[in-house]
Amino acid sequence: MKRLSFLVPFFTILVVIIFSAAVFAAYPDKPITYVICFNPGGESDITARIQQQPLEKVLGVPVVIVYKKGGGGAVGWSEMMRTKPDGYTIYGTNIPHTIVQPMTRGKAGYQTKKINNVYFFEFTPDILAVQKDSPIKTLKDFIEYAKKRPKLSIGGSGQPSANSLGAERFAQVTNLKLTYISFTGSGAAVPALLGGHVEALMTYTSMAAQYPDKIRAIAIAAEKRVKALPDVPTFKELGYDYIEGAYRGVAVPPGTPKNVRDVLEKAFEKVNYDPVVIKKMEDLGFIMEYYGEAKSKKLVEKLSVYYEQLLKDLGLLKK
Amino acid sequence: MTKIDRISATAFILIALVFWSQTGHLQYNGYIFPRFIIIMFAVFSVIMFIQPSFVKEGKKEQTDIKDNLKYITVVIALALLWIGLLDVLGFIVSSVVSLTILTTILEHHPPALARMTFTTAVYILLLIVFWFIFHKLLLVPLPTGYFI
Amino acid sequence: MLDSLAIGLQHIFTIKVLLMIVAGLFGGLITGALPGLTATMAVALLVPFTFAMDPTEGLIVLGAIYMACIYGGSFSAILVNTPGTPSSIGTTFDGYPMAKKGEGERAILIATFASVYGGIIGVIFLLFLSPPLASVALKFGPPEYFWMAIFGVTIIASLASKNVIKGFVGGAIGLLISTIGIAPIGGDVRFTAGFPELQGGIELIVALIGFFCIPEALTMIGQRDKKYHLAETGKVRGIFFKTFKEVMKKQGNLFRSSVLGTFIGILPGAGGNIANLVAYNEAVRVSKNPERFGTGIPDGIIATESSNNAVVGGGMIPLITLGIPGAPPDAVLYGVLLLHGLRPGPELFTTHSKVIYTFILSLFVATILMLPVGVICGRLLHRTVVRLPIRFLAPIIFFLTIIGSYSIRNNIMDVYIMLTLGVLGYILKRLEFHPGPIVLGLILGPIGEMGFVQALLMGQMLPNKWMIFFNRPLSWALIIMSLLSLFWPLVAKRLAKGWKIKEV
Repeated sequence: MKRLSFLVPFFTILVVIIFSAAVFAAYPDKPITYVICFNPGGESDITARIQQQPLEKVLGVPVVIVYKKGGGGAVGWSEMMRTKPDGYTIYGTNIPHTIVQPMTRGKAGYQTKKINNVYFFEFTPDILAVQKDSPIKTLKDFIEYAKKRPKLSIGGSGQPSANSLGAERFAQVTNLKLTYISFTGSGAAVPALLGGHVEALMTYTSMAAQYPDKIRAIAIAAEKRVKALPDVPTFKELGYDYIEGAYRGVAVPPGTPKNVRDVLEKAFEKVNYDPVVIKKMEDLGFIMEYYGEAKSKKLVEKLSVYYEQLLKDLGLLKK
Repeated sequence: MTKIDRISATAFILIALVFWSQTGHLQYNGYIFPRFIIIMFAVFSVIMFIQPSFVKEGKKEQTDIKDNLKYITVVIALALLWIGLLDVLGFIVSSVVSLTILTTILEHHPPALARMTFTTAVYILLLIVFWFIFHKLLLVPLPTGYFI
Repeated sequence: MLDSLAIGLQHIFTIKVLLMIVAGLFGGLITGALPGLTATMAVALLVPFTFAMDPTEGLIVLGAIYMACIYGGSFSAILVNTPGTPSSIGTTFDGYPMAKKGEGERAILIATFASVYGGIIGVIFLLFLSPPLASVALKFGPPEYFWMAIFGVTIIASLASKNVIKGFVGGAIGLLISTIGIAPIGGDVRFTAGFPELQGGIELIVALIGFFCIPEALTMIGQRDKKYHLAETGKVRGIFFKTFKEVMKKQGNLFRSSVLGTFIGILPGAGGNIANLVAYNEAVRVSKNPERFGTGIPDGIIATESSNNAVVGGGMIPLITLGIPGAPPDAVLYGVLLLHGLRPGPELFTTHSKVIYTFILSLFVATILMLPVGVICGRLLHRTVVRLPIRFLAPIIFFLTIIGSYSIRNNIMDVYIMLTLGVLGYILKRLEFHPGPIVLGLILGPIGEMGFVQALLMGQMLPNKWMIFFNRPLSWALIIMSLLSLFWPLVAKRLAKGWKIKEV
């Protein structure tokens, strides 16, 4: 009996040590999976690839990119709700997708407020674009041209998306009749414009940066002009209150401990200040943003109010 | 064959009706294509139902598919269990166990311990090589559970 | 151009680069042969490894992987009736019957020669005719994609020659399954029965594995009296050269299928998965004995395997000239180009001409090297499958299919769907439904629906929106092709009867 009674405290101490080791074991100490909820080769993928090596350097572990496409990202995000919150699986997130999908679909498999955004690192504003050799050169030209026609076809990526909702908002503030045609990705919308199947595009700045000799950006839906397109005026400076675009960020499953989220937040922030990353992103037409976890939450709340109203006006709100 | 064809045709028409009922809440752009397909599906199923009355079936070569359904059902049940266990026991353990059981079932001799051990060993080796190449080298995520 | 090519040759014919190409070929073959791993995934998987390399070499490796992956899909198609990639669906129609008859090695050799031929033709078009062909890609808009899907549907008639009605029912089933998930326009959620995982719809690969592989595996298990899966034939002396001569005689089929593959590859959104079936259909149409297709004749394999490898070169034509990927793996290559600061467009051919010409040349070299690498691997694989008793083969097939379906989206749901479709596929097989039309419907559904709804939206600019389908010359070309494809078999039969009477 004497021997056994000595074993009890021994084992208790052992168990405590093991548990503390698990808790205090430095995160991260094994590879992190970075889930992209879209197709390989798309913009979320390219962004993640730009971040991959700098992230590995900062975090000290391999970062493995995997793809879980489907439902415009919804399949991946709904899965995030059920993933183990140990910080070893992180998910790329996008606004407005994560805000408008639950609003328009009823059952998207996740709730916007449950998405734990750790960092938003870039913003791609919408641009209004036409073919390079089109006679339309300014927004004034475009509106004049559009007013003469009963309807105008405008293409973009996804529905609902920053492109589609942006086109609706643009039509609202200019009183034009536009028919939005959605394509699977900006990569499919650009050929539609080039082939003359649609007359204009409400697409992202990255498309203007990637096809400078083929499309002309007429106006950009941002607060200020962007570095990649210095000659393109903003809708605001031309007198139209229209700001729209897609934010890209990273999130963790609900219930992830604070120390893990802090490590990730700091890591992504550090990577976002890396000059190599900045150059590559800006060359592709992305705008760098620096929303930490707290700021991200406020951003989502602010935009949720905006999108809810917009969707209500368009009659797309479910429930 | 005719009777089976007719039963399946009826089943298809019923399935078409079920799908149709699910299109009520969709917008125009969302339902126009599926409804067209459902109609086509139903039409072709009806033709499939009526066809034997008009077309004389040529001599049917008796294909010797004497499939042993008992084994097939058991294998399917095992496969379902295997998939369920992937997340619980982990990739390697559940696979080795399931593979060994399947191989033993498919043997023509009654299960013998020596053969089973040999089979298990072979599969453990194969699985470790596979795991090494795909998980460690190429970093392809594989299901993980409590074990590996 | 010529001096860039010369520099390219010098760069490629070094031990280091040649070894890299061979390594890429091996990797591509294996991923191609494994059901569940597609060319897109294989290329995407290996992108991080290329970061450490110089951009040209990275592209060379990825190109080799891509080319070999498309070819490798034929291995599993021939040996276990499972298209290793969707580009080899048609190879199962004649490749598998050949293997069952004991001619597996011959089938693999035919697939090898055809793939190499098709790959070379695709690259030749890429090298010499990129700019004019790329502009054709742009002319295809939503109405054309819709009619192309209709044309694809008419192929069902050739695939299900034994019972056309069952073929169309199967096609309708496939089309219906393709609508599960989010509507391409409008974003409605359809037919998901409350499962959020189904928002992504049914993945094509999962359906391929379910409808092609599982029924065969279950049949293997059900037939208790057979110990081995494929019949073993004695060694046929000189089979390599005999088969080579046999394949080379079919220049018509080879060239036509390769050109078809190249053109279909050029169209964004259409790729090897459509090309191989269209080529197969054309081969059946122009054949003097169409009823022999599906029993295990070389023409079937030649058509599918040459067209799908031609897509590799063809898909890169719009990618390199316009920056628009022609086939899904090209989207990944586009990302790689951008990451290395190589913007596709005329700039590539002037500022970075060395990189591009070296890359195109490397594709050429890789395709030729595919011959020895493929023959060695293919023969080995064939021998393994023939000698492995079913009690090992069938469980291993299950293992590979489970892992394969999991790896597409890292989603356990896909594995369950695969198994469910597998059981369904087995039942349909017993009911004498051919899986080809079903997966064809699954492939064409999204293309057809998207084209249809987008075109209708475009048509809103016209007084009558339905006219959008009929007021474009390219649409009419496709309409005529569809009508020909649908009614040709009947016309041909009439003509044949006509000839017979004349002779007597």
